Amino acid sequence: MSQFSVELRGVCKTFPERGERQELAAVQDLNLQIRAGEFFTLLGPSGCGKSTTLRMIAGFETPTAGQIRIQDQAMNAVPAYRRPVNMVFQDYALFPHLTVAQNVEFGLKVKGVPKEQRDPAVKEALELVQLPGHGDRKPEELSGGQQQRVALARALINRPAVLLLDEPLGALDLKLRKAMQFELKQIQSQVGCTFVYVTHDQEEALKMSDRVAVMSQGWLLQVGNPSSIYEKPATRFVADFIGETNFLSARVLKASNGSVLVEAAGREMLAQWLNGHAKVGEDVTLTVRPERISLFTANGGHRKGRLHGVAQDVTYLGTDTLYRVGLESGEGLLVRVQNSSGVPRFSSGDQVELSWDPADAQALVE
Amino acid sequence: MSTRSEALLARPAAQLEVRQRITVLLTPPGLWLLLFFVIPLGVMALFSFRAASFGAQRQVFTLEHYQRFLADTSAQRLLWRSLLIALETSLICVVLAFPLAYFLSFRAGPSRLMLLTILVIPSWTSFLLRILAWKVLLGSSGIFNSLLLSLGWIEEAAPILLFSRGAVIITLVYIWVPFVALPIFAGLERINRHLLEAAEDLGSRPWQIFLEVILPLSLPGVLAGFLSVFIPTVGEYVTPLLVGGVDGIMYGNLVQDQFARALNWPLGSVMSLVMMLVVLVLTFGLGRGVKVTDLAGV
Repeated sequence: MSQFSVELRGVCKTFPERGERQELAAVQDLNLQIRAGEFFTLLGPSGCGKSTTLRMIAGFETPTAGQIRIQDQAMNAVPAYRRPVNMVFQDYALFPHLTVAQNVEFGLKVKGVPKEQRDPAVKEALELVQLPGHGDRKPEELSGGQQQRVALARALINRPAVLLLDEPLGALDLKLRKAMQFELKQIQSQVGCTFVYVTHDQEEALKMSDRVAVMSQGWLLQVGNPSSIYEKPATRFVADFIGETNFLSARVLKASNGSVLVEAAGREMLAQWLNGHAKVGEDVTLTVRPERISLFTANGGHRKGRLHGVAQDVTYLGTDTLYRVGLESGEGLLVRVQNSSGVPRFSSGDQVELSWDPADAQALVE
Repeated sequence: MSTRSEALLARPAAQLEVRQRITVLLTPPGLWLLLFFVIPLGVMALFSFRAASFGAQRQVFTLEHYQRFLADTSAQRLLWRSLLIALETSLICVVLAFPLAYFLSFRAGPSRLMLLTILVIPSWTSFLLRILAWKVLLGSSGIFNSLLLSLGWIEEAAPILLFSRGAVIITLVYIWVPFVALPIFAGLERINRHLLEAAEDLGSRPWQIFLEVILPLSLPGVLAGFLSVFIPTVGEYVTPLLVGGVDGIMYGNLVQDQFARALNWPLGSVMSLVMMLVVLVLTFGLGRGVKVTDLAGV
């Protein structure tokens, strides 16, 4: 048996567009390996194909091409009701005509598990999601967060190999969402099954996941652990979608393995290069995270490796201060400075100098 | 429009304005109900206590007609019979309309509203015409008799098809099926499709999804459809008059006779009130949990 819990091989999904002859490609040539016990997140804006991917794993959609394997078994011909996966829906999809306990035991009941075995399992599942004693209520009597827990218990009672979660916290308010994020992680470590989580919230993805797959317009752009996604974005889209970042247009002057010398903002500078072979003379985009840029007081004379600029907007954010700095080249950069870092506070109109470690700057193809 | 009314609602004076608007909107239907429902009903209740329809006896108030009704076992039997015919008609309607509504809601896809319209179009023709059409169809030279004759299943035209209890039920079922399909369809449309996916995801086979999720969730619509046939059918008198014959007579015919032929309005009133009471009790018994919106089919 392979180490992969879920494997997607060249999976495509196109939907016929209503009233038109052309087809809408929802997922394009997707290859993914999700490891057993992993908290894996599909991240992307709405319409990027993440939900379609999840629904194909669940068996609600059939891939147009490619293969879906779960626990080393081809799943394309297996109907949803026989797949070893369970799903938590965004709108919970609790059965309104059943009590909480009847909802939770549903999966066991349709599989013919006798009542003597169902009852203790329901009790255990409700305890796992911290809703003991709520079995006799109707779903409508519960709050959104509680309904979410019932949906979780209803899925987990079947001991699925993979739990699929489709934006499960999307309908909750911020505070509850944060609490549930923490709790979901805890529940996962207790039950140990693979979680495949769909969200458009990059912060949530970074916080919870072991690995993240970033998708856009049906394409998989990058897979990696949260820090590599954040710090080594493979494309401009990923850099832009995950957190705040700066972009400078640049031109390649010299290329070597793993790094390039570029001209940007009227200067020569080094940057990381991860996209294979760079061509000299090629137009690229340079990206630097705002918190990786250092600010200095300008004191005349040009110091090597520093850019010059004018602080334009100053926003105090509590732990940090966010500056918008206008460069001599006319471009603007966001700079985030920790207030406890000892860097003097600048005000709007101050002359400043900026620099960053070349390891923190990435050159990306357009 | 909505933002404007919301803005209006923000002011107390505007709330008053809204209340006035509601009053204005509700006055015409309220008056209509008062004039053509509440008052006639009151008049009928009054009549049920009068000794006679006309003359001096009109001013005498008595319980005589109630006593007469209680003693009249044939009238009670006919009421019972009519309830049974209504029950059978409604049940057959539900059994026929459910698959229809199910198909429209789950299988017909984007064309379902068009198909729904097609389903309702026949009821745009006159009620009487549709009953008369069945009179022709079921008649001795009608299509059913001709078919059975040509197949050699019967020797001579069977008059039993027409002028029978069965003819009444067939005709009523035909007339009411679309009106039962509508609330059932509306009920099925309201079922969140994620629930079906959730059921499948939890291991339900298609028939289990139907039995465990779709059927229980469709019950309010089914009940609404059932009642929307049952209530008007109990008092039905036109259909039995046209296709029922002696065998297919219903309670409504008896009531009509009291008013139109025997000119015994007080007894007719008693009979009408008793029927209303029975239907009311049955409806409330069955109809707990049915929302008005289910009955309206929206």
